[in-house]
Amino acid sequence: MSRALGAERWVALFLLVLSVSYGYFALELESLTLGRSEVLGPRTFPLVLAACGTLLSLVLLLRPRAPGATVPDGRWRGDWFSLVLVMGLMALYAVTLRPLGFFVATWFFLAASSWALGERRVKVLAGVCLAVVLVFELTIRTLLGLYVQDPVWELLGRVLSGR
Amino acid sequence: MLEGILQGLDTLLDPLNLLMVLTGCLAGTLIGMLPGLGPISAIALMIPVTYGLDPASALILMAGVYYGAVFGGSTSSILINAPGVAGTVATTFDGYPMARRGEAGRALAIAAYSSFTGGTVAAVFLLLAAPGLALVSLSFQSPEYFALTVLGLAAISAFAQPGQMAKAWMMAIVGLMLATVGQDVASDVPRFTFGRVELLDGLSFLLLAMATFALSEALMSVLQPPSQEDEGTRSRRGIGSLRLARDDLRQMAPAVGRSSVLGFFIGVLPGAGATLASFLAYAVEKSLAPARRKAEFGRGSVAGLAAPEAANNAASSGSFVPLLTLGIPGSGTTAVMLGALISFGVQPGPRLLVDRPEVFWSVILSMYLGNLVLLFLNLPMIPYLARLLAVPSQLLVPLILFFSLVGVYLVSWSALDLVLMIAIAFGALLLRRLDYPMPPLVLGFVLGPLMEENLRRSLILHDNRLSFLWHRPATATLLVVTLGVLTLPLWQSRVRAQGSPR
Repeated sequence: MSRALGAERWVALFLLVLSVSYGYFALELESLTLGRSEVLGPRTFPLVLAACGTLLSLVLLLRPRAPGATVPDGRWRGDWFSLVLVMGLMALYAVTLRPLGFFVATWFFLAASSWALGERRVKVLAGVCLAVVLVFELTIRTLLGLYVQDPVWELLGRVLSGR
Repeated sequence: MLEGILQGLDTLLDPLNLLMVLTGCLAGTLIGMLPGLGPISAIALMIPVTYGLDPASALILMAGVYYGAVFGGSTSSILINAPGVAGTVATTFDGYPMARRGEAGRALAIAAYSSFTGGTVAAVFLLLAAPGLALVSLSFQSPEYFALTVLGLAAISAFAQPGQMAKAWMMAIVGLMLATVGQDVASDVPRFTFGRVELLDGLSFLLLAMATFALSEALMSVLQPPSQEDEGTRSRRGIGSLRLARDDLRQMAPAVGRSSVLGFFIGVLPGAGATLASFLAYAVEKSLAPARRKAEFGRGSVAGLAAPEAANNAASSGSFVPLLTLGIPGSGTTAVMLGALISFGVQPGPRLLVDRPEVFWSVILSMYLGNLVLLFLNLPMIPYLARLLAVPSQLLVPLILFFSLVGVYLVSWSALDLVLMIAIAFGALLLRRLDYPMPPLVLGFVLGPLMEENLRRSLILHDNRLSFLWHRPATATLLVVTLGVLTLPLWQSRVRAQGSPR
């Protein structure tokens, strides 16, 4: 239980740091020059926000826990391993989209994430994901008229048209 | 007004727009049925699709997705006790027990008819009230707008998380902070860009909306997958007949009537939405029910199912009122819609009625059509749609992740944006676990520029003095209401302290 309480304070602390640094960077903003009386310049609104944010995060950080309030059990329970794995796969997908092309990158992503989440049937991993990618790429190119960089698709196109 | 209606009808009957209604309702229903994805995520996922459309079609599509999602949420509430949408939690109270008795079909039919009535009644009110309200709001000037944005933020923070107003406000402030990133409109000073050119236009609204809703909810279901029991239940149970008995209709009618009206007015209020409306309607019907019926509530009561269903649809339509007439979103969902509209170059608000009447009216009319579509097309298709729930989550979740990522990629073509999305989605997941609500964040992000701009103009108009806050009666009234909303928890605890023990 105290672990969850700790998490609350950490987040509040993070928000405090965020507000204070936001305010710091706001102060660095150039204000309208030439000595014009400036009531609402580029830094006014941010400064107000920084002040409110600092105040609120202090409240969240320091306020005593309400008596009788309980932290729900199992709040942090869960499949963190899969979560991190899936997030890593998504980052990988983002990075490989351009070099590998839409077709390969998407197919790999769908298959790998399904596998990561427990799917083991090879037919599904290969077949269904392939079908999805095909449908998608077709839709994107024809219906939406967008061009997605994809060497495999070009290759397929050439092969199918017999060139 | 008749001229406007005809104009709207003309726009609506365009084949593309008709297709938009159909697609929206269908897609919304599918997405709403998936536990974890709600109307906000559904709409966020649709935004990339709307980029090729003109504003009227885009708004019609998004509106269709909205009700579709609420409708779909009811379906999963009834069938598997997993509300797809917060506004359908109250539906589980009596819908699921009915389904467990093997009367799922009856429950679905009750829900469908109630939703239809609620939505139609609200659409009628909208049709009658909106132009009047729009004309009134033409007299609104910058001070009133400023006060209204403050009220909108206050209201959504107050209602978003009962008892956790500090957290909701904090999220609103973070949203406002995020909105200041970019080039300041008035002075062209780059703010918080750290020298990066990509940030000059500010943070992408689409990215933020997708990351904080669709993506983080999908990640949540990776972290805590739906229980095995639910999956087994889905395939085993049959649906049963979709017919209703006369007695059912007789029980439904008064409940639906009252709940529709209640739902509409609650939906109009900024901050309150379908969720609040459905709970309130349930409570009202329960207290109004005669003794013999009261015991049925929670066990499969017809009125107990009909009331929240009518109310949540009515509230969904009602929440369009502030958006269309004042340009101020009243909820997270309409905030996302507003963000999308602004990126099309359409500024909802009183000028919408005057400058782009075809957008204004066609959206309202599309609500009628959408309700009809939901009733006649969706209801018979439920058995097939329910099959979707049987798709194992190992495949479904990667698909959702893929949609979210691709949606953003097709617009920005930046791998960095995708990585940023992942980071934001993870942050949102952590925050949600700690009870920090996301709608205030999105609302703050969308309202931020409006707020700052109107404050700036008000100050310029009033010689840099803050006196405009109390000199203008409308502004003062709005601010008083805001204060009332902010101190709501104090009133509530006082009432509770004085109330009789239960």
